[in-house]
Amino acid sequence: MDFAISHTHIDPVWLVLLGFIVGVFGGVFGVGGSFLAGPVLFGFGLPMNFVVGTDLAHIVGKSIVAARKHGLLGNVDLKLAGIMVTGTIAGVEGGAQVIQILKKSAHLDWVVGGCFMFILVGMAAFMAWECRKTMQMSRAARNAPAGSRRRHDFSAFRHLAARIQALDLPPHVSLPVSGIKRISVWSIVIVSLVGGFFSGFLGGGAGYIRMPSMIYLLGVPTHVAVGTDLFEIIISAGYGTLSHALKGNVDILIALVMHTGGAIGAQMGATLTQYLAGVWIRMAFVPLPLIGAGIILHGLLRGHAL
Amino acid sequence: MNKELKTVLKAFCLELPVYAAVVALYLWVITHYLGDWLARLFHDHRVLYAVVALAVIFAQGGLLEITTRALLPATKARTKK
Repeated sequence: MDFAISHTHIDPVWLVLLGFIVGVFGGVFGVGGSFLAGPVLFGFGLPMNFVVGTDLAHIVGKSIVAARKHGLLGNVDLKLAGIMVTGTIAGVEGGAQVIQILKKSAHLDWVVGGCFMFILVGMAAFMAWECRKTMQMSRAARNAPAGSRRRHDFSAFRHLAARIQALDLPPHVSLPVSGIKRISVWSIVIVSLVGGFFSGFLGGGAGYIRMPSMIYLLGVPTHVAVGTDLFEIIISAGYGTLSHALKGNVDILIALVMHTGGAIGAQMGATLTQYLAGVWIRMAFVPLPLIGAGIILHGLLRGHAL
Repeated sequence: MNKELKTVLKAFCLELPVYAAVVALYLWVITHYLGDWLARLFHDHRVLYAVVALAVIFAQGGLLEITTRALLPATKARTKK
């Protein structure tokens, strides 16, 4: 099928299938899947500027379905999402400005690709280590009744999150949905600012940065981190979509086709989180950044733009 | 695998073909009636294109959410029978 906006020819079945797989990832892990969707779209022949903008547009649509599902399950902390949006949008603009500066040099692909690979491999290694440590510490949690697993979510970095929550940096806020009695607003804004920067700099929703940050640094339970991250992506990716569309980087038809697969995948993924303990969700997430890093390395070595 | 999870997975297996048929028809309508218009908008009216692009993806998000939400209980009820 011909897509006149981006002047590409892509089989819509593959787009729907890609959207479905990324949708399941989004529903389960609370990430947009851009570390897979982006490289695959590039492999389909879509120019890289359209990859970044179109993927953002598709993420907006997909996240609506998954976020609503998680909302019904009680996994969306609206207060937390509202505070995070301010930092995320500022971070997105900051990241995009760095890209504009790098565009003037000849090393944009390698700089962005190298940063991306470093972060993805580091993220996978860290989460694998943390999950192993958590499973050693929390054998009792695995024997708990199924209904209690969602709220009693163990993490090997509870002490770090507790220290950050104890920071005396006003103003403070309570997050009852996340089970956090008191936390500095600045902690939340800084986490979202960093996540937003990576979104603007590397493309996609950067849920792979934000979701682990919410769990390990802010102490948000995994299921709430997944749902809240999905909700927050709607707003930040919506802003990114508008910005990129104005710059001529969004083929909305491709996004619409991908999203039809993503909608059903996201619903399935969100439903499946009910049957998984938090530590297993984190463990299942570990290989995904490594796959993304492999695809980027392959593209860079083959000479494809990132 | 617990019983409830099995029921949910069976419902998904039933939901997918129904959803695929609905989506195929929907995509045909979208590409036939909106494709050229969106391309013209992209080339000639960029600001309007940006607003329309965001609006349609939000609208499709809402529409597909309603569709998938309606399909899953219906297929779940069928698998329980």
